[in-house]
Amino acid sequence: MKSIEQIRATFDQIFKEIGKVVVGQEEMLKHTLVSIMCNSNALLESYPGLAKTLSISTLARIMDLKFSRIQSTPDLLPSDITGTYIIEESNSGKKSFKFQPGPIFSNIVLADEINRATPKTQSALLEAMQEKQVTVGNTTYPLEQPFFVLATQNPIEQEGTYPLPEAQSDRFLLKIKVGYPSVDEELEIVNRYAEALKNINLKPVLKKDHILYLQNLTRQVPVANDLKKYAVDIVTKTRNKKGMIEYGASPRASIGLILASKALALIEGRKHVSKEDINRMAFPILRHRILLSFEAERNNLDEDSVIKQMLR
Amino acid sequence: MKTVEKALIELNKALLVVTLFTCFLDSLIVFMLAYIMILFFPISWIFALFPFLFFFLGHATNSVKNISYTRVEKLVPSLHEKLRTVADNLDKHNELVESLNYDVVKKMREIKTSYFINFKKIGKRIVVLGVMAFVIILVSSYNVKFVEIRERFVEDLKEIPLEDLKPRIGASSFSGKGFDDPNIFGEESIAELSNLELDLKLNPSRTEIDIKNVDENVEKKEFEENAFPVDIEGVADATFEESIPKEHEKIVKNYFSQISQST
Repeated sequence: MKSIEQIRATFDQIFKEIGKVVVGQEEMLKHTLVSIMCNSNALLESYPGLAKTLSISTLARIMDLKFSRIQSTPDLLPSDITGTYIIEESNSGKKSFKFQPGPIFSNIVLADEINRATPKTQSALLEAMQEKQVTVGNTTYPLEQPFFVLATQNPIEQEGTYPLPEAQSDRFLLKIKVGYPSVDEELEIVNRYAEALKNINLKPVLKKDHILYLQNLTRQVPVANDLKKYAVDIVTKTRNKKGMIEYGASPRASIGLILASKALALIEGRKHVSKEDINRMAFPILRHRILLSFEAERNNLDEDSVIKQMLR
Repeated sequence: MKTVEKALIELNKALLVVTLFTCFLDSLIVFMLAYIMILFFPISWIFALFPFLFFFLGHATNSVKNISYTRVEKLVPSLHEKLRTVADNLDKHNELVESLNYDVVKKMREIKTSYFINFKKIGKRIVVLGVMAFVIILVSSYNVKFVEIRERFVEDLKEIPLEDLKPRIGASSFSGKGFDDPNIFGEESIAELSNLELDLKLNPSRTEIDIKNVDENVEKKEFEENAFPVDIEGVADATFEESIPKEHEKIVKNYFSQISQST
């Protein structure tokens, strides 16, 4: 076994390598790694130009994973994602159907602007996200492990978009909000990308089997019983806060909150989950799983401020 | 048994001892309070043990229930949340849990029982106990007892001469309360003199009833409830009156004045 210090050093190395390409956005990168460690999917929401795609592609390179990107548009078809059967002619002239895998057959799939795809295409991702397999025709194809879908969506320009249905958004472990960089960070971005382009040499830090090992280790991080109860209390409160929340989070959120807290503890080099981990992960876990009431919106409250009220 | 389990058992024992000791000190304060109160009454000190025992049992039960690792974690910040996690995951065996157990045991070796003793709190209690002990000594030296004060008051009453009580006997013996009282001697506490009953005799020389001269044809008369017959009314000092004819009064007076001058 790698010691916890070695594990921490590995994650520090990952952040250092990403830092060569992406300036700032530590929280977003950390949460993305949490999602990967939990073997789950994440939804990234931000305004355009905040390095979402760049961060994910860089992460894939550092982790030595196969990366594919799907740019969602209203005319995107499910078969464009999953793949389809094509007719292949052999040297003898015999024609047969051959499965041509789509971009979903990767380790990291970036579904860019997922809310621009039609619900039919969005739901094509459901099976892949949940079951880690794809069914085309009568055949089911398992996806290579590790597998993550990292989808992005734009909170503006809502015309011609198809907001994710609750059932689908619940399948994303985290909804990560990507904020604007600080002035210093933006200055660094300008210095780095507005001048002569340098060839950035990225070193792979993790291999596939390392990721699988870390995913297994994440589930082994111990949690105290009172902290488990605290996490469950937070989730159940979302169902009882009728004044602010119209629909609360499902038990999937409780599982996700504990699992994400474990992953955060491991990434930060701790052997146990702390209350602070739960409080920090409550925001990305719950913000897409609660539906605010009219009263909350009338008071100019967003999901994060309502979640904050439920934390101790 | 794992090392961490043994360490937790030891920690629990230490916490239990400290908790019970604190409960005992609190209960001792209750005992001394009860003892001070009992000092003022002629009751055995053993009765002060009852509040002590009840308080100790209640307080100890409650305190033992509230023993938690959170308290230890507050006192030893390096164990924050770790101790609870280890205690809740004793049944799990994996790399991380084993590693955490090892860390916790290592840190627990640094813990001493004195960590759990709140010297400030215990110091305050000892001062309170000292003050109460002083009060007990003070009260014991004066031997103040509320019941004795009452007894002394009654004794003082008894020391008042009987002559001083006579007018009160005379005034109340045939009227008011004493009227219905079958005890012709009146209040027992007044009649008592040094725990001896006053031997009172009616002077027979004053009676004018001649038993030989009883008229048997006397008309029977019913007593009215509110009107007591006048002929049996007694006069307390009539026994000592002498019937001197009026013409001899002056002679008697001169006689006694001459005697007093001669002495």
